[in-house]
This record gives sequence, C-alpha cells and structure tokens, in this order.
Amino acid sequence: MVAGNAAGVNRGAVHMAEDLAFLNRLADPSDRFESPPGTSAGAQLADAGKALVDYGGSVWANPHRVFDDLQSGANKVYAGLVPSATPTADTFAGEVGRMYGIGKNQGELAANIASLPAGGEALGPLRTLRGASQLRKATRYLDEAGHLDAVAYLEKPYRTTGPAKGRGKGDHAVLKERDRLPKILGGGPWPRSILDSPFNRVQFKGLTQGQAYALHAMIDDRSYGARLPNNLSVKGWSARKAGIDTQTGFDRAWNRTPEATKTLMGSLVGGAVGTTGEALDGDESW
Amino acid sequence: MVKIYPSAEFDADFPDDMVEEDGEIALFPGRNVAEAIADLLRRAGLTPGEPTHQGEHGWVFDTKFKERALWIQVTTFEDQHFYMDTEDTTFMSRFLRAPKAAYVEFLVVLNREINADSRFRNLTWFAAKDLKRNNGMATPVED
Repeated sequence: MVAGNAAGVNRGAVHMAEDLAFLNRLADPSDRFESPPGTSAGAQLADAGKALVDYGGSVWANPHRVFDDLQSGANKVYAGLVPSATPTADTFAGEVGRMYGIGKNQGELAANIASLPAGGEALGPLRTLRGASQLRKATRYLDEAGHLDAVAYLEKPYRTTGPAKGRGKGDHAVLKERDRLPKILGGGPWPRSILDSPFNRVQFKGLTQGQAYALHAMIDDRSYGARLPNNLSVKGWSARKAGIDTQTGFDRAWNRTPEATKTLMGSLVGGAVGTTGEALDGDESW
Repeated sequence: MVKIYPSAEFDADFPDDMVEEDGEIALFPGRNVAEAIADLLRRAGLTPGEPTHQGEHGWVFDTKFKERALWIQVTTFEDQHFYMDTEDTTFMSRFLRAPKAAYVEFLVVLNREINADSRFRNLTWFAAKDLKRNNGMATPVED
C-alpha cells in the first residue's frame, strides 16, 4: 500500500458521488432553472458535446492527432500511477509528496474499479490481487514443517535472478518469451521491447519472494515452484505442497492483467463516466 | 479428437548443477537435464538449440519438427525430481482447436526417447494446468 491510497479512495468516492449527483441533476427538470447561467447539468453536457464536435473536426483535419492524444493520455496516466515511471525527487520531503500523489491516484483508480461490479454503490475493501489468501498460505507448509530459515528467506522482498536481473522479473501475460513471430517475419522471438512492455508483463514489485512465487504459480500454468539457496534446510518451494493451484476465470484474468493495462482500462472507463480528465485538486496527482 | 498432455514430471539421476554467488542463486538448476533431453531429440533426428536460463522457470530450448516450432522447459526444485513442459509455439498455434499432427507426433517421439533412457524414471504426463494437482497419464497422447 502506497501512502495516499486511502486519500485516493476517499477522493474516488467523492468523485463518484459527484458523478451520481451530476446524473441526478441531469434527470431533474428543475436543474436548468435553479442553476446559475451556464452551470446546469444540461448546459455542461451541451458544452462537452460542443467540445467533442470541435475535437472531431480537428481530428478530421489531422487524423494523426487522435493517436498523439491517446499516447499522451496513456503516458500521463502511467506516470501518475506507477512510481517507477517518474524520477525520484531530490529531497526526502519531495519524494514523500510524489509517492503520496501517486498513492492518491492509485486509490482513486482502485475505488473506481472496485465499485464497478457493485454498480458504483459500494466501496468494498481494496484488493489489488484476487485470491490474496492463497498468497498468505505460500509459506505455511514450510512453517509447519519447521523450515523457519526457508520461511524467513521467502519473506524477504522479491529480487530477480538470471536473465531478468535488473529488468524486474514478472510474468509475460499476453506474449510469452516462447511465442514466435509469423514465418513471414522470420519466425524468431518477439522483440524484447514488446515482451517487456508494461502492457505485457505482470511485475512482482512490492511482493515478498514467497508471494511472488505463489502469484507466479497462480497465474502461469507453467510455473510450479522455485529452488531455494543451498544454505537453507529445504531444497525448494513447491506450489503443489503449498496447496496453490492455477487460477481460473475472472481471478486469473484479473491477476494476469498487467498494472499498466488495468490503469489504461480504468482510465478509459473512468473517462467514459467523467471521473477523469477533469481539473485536479491543485496537487500533482490526478 | 486427439487429446494431448504436453507437460510431464519425472525422476532422474543427475547431479545438482545450481550455481550460487554470495549465497544467492545465480543459475537455477536443470541445465544438465535439459541438455540430456536435447541430446535424446538430436539422436532421434531433430535439431534442438542450446538450453538457455530462464530464472526460476529453469532451462528452455527450442526445436523444430516437421515445420512446427516447438519449445521445451525443464524446471527442478526438489531432489532429482523434474518438471517438463512442451508447447507448439508456431505463430497462431495457441488459437488452434486441435493440436497439429506434427506436435502430437513429436510428443510420442519425446515420450519414447525418455522412456528408453535408464537415467529417467517415473515419467508421467499432464495437461499443463493439472501438473500442480498430481493426477497424470502414462502417455502424452490419448485418442
């Protein structure tokens, strides 16, 4: 959890309440008579429609603009939500402020997404991972067998080894490293830049070693466990022994969707109902 | 329709070849077993590439069989016990309703070669998602 998440959830709730209030005003015939000139819900909707028509005209004149705008929007959303997408601040206070802003954005997005299945009526507890209880039992069997040194190792923050070292290992969600290009393009591996794109890779940042192995086993059919260092009392961690199975259905789809893709989807959904793209609260978060 | 079981587990008598640096894993184990399986395929007339390291996934290599691009992964994290995965990675193959005949034939060859080598024991085949549940088959192909 990043500082600011709770504030973001609150802000998401406020924004959703504002959206619902806007819809109520739109449905209220007296709103246009009681609101100051140009501020009724109907007038705001008309202004939005006019802006859309104007935008459509400019796209007609310059079709490439829509791609530029989409890219710019996606970049802004990504930078606003992913701590590693923007440089760290020079000062401690600046970094706290940066992380707080990102946390607020994450909280608001999570609140928006979490409320969708409930029709926007409920703000359930935040769960960025579906089936988080499986992660909690990742090391239980080792604990019960007395392999406390292995448990301690698996509770350390996840770090990468081997070819992914420094790149931030994760699960390639859509295109796998083993997937091959069409024969007409040579039939070789896909370019690294596409494979490691934030839209193709579920990253294990913020997880412990054990949680990362468990999540990997939950979302990847071909991940069964991991070897542990030789100085520990047990040779490896096993998904089967931990009672962790490959997920199915929505849980699997959700957990296998990279954060950047969720962010973009949330932004598009949020934008569609008017919760994003609005004037901010005067801080650096959106 | 032919049903295939493209993943497997087996026991094998190979030394632990994990490489550590400063108490941390630098190379996960299983390279020697991946190389042994690649050699078996070579003897069967295929042309597998050299295994490459894939972190906790272990070691993987590609091969070709009758124009199909195929992939093999070897993972280990228990004493002399190994997990093996295969996949037809030819472009668009994941969207096929049924496996291509060449991939089915490849699995039959792989099963035959591993069973014929005395270093390997207890070879059992699975649907990939079932390998964590331990209810396997003796052969990789079922008519």
